[in-house]
Amino acid sequence: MNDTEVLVFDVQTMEEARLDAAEAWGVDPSDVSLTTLEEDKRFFGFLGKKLRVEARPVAPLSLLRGKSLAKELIALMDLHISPELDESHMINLVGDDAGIIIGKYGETLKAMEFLLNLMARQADEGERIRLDSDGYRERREESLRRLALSAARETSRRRRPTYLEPMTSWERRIIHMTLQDREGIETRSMGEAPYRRVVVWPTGASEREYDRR
Amino acid sequence: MSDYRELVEFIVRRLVTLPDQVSVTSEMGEGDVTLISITVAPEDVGRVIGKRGGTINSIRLLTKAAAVKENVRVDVDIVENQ
Repeated sequence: MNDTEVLVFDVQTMEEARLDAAEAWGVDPSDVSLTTLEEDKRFFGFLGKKLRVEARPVAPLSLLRGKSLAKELIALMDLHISPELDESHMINLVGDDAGIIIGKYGETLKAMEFLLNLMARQADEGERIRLDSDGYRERREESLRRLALSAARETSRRRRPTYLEPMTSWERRIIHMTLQDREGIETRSMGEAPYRRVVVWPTGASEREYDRR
Repeated sequence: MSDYRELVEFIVRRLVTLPDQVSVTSEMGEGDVTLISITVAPEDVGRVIGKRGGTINSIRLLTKAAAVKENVRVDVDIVENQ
C-alpha cells in the first residue's frame, strides 16, 4: 500500500486520477481530494485533454483505510450500517443494525475496532482507528463514571481494595480520571491486556497486604 | 445472508504475512453448528491467534454478530498442527 500522502498523476480525466489514488491508498474514491496542476491542450481532440493532477487524502490515511475496510466487513456481515468519519476522527457506524454491531457490553464494536487497527495499521503507524455507534461511547462513559464513584465509596467504607472488571485502555482512563482528585483512595491498573483491570485502593495501603494472587 | 467463510477469509488474509497460504473452509458440525476452519502458514498462526487469543476471539465475535439475524450458531477455529 502506498503511504505517500501526495500523489501526482498524468491522466485523461479527473475521475481516472481519483480511482488511481483510491486504489494506491486503499481508500474510498470519495475520500480523495484533487487539484489540477497543469492542463496540456496540445493533444486536444486526439488523445483527449491531458491533465496533471495532484491527489491528497481528505483525512489521515489510516482512518480512511479503516473506514473503507469497515465498509467491506459490514457488507460481508450483511448488516445495514454505514461508516462515517466525524470531525473528532471517530468512525461512527450509523444504521438500523447499530445494536448488532455494538453487541453485548460493546464487545462486537471493540472486536471490530481491534481488528481494523491490525488490518489497516500493520506497523502500528498512523492515527489509531476508533469506532462508535449510536452514542455507545457516551453512554458507556456515563456508566463508567457511576461505577468509579461507587467503587470509591465501597473502598472508603470497607478500607479494602475494590477490583473492577477487565477494561480497555480507554475505559480504564475514564475510571482513573473520574477518581484522580478523590481523597482517601487511589487507582492502579493491574494485569495485562485484554484482562487489565483497575483496582481502587485505600490510600497508603500496601499491595502485599491485600494481594489476592 | 452473510457468507461467514468469506468474512473470515477477508479478515485473515489481511492479518498474515503470507496471504496466498490462507485457506478457510466451512462445514456443518454437530448440532447444526457451522464450523469455520482457518489454515495459514505455520509462521502466521500466532498472528491469527493474537496475544492471549485476542485476535481469534475478535474474529469469532464478528462472525457471531453476522449470524445474529439468521439465528444460527457459528464457530471459528484455527488448524494448528498440519
